Amino acid sequence: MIVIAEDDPGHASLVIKNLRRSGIGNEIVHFKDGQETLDFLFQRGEGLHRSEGTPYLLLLDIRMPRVDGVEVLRQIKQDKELRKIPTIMVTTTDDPREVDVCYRLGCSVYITKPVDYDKFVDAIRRLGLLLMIVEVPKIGEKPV
Amino acid sequence: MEAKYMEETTGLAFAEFNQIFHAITSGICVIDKDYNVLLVNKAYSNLVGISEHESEGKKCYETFNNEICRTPDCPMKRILDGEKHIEHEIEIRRDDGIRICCAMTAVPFHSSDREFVGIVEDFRDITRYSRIKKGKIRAQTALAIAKTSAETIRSIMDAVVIAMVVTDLEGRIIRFNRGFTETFGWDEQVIKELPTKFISRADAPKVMKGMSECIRNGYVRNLECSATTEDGREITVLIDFTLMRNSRGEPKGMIGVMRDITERKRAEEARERLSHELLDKNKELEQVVYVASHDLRSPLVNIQGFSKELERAFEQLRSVIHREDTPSSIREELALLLEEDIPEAFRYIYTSTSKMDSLLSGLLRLSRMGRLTLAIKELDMNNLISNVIATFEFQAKQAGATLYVDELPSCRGDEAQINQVFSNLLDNALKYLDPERAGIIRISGWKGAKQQALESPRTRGSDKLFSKKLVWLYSPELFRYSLGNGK
Repeated sequence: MIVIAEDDPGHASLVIKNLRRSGIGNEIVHFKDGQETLDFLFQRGEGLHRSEGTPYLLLLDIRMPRVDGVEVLRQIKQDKELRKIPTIMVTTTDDPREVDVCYRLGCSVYITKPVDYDKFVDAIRRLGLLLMIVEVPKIGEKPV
Repeated sequence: MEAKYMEETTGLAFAEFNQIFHAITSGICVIDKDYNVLLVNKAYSNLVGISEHESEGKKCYETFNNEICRTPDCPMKRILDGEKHIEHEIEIRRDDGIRICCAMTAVPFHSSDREFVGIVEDFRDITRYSRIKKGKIRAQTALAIAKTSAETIRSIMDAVVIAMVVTDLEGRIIRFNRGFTETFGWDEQVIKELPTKFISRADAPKVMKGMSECIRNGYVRNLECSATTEDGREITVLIDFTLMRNSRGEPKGMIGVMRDITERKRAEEARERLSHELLDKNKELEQVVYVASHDLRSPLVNIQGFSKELERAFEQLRSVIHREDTPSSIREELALLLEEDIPEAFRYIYTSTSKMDSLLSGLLRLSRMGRLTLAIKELDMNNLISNVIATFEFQAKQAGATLYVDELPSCRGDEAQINQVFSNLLDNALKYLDPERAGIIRISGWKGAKQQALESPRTRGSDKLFSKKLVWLYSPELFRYSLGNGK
């Protein structure tokens, strides 16, 4: 399952559309801020909860209200199980210091959203291809 | 002289006269008008160191040696000239080298028949008196010199505008100048006081320590202290102390010079404050620019993205309409829309968003300029340009443009930035190619006296309008220029 954390619904829509176009058939769930995302992953609160034994992939935007992407990344990477989730930072920021921080915290990949739509589509398509071949670990499954 | 003559002239027993004569403590010498010594007494002999026998009968100037002999000051000469009473201080130079200061008195004497016979000289030893007098003169001269020196010193001190004090070895003020009063307002009150009387309590130990150091090393410099003036103002002074020595080289006091730096300090503090304010303001602005350009990017992504989606949708519509089963009347009606109006709209939306994007990128980079450190070094431009070209190969082919690259000289700059500049230039060049002509982009360079590489693309419109000549200088201005993305 692909988890997308993105506060701008327009961006989210674009990403999802293009993921689908590049052949991704997985379930996609979208949250509009860091808090919702964390609640889902840590199985807290009233909304959706992550289910055990499911592999997840996280697409994180950095600029989000309430809790931002970097903070989500930090919290995930501190959890023994959740840190296994491959995290892809997708964001408009290309500040090298931000990039550095994210890699330090342990994100797998950092992608900047170019405004140039063709490039953007291209990037998402490649991401899709990547996702198709990537081995995503299951989270929370008790080892047999 | 004949005893008989003496008996007749003095009326006394010769012996008595003799006793009296020789008892007189002053030296007496009787000389006739021909300079012959007639009579001398014992005191005289003792004074001049010549016995009676040797003196009497001889010319006075032969035996009696002093500076006035044979000069117009000679008492005989003066009396012959008509003077009646001579007084003179003379120095008797004896044969044994001893000099005796004498006060000489000379008077004429006459025979009973009033005939001028000669003179009587009276010599009083005044050596000791003379010595004392000389000493007194020396002392007086010394005092006068000292007084003048003191005057001179005082004048110099007063002429100096800076506050100056002279202290003893304990630091107590002995003297101060006009500059001191003008700076501090204090005057007589500071005499015999330590400078700490007007130095702030916090800085007093600094001054005392400084004075000790001065006595140890001969000087101490730049003690910055707070002081209070007589009318209660707080000022800041810079104090120097220099050790003062007497003529034997022994320390005898200190000279303190105090410069009022209150104004300067105030100016410095103000400047610091302004400097900080400026830096803060700058940072603030940077932040604003950063946030703004960033926030603007987001909606831009949507505009671009969804216009492309629109385009997609449009293409789909178009293909449906172009299907064979669509009535030609409809096709005709929609032809203009499909082929011209709508595509044109999309083109303009696209170019405008691209432009916004590059402007925002520029702004973003500007806001980070302060933090960016430039690594300037000698760059192999051939290498750099070939890297840039590589990333644009596909784009160039798509645009149908040919790229020519000449042999390029090396230049100095920041590799990343220069790479960016040429990338931007090439990007623009390819984007704005005139669709009517096959684009030719040539990159060449030459080394002038401080000028380097440039690029001249053939672009849309007349060559004159769009072909650019960029002049590069070995300076940071280069990089600021690049932020405009080549425009």
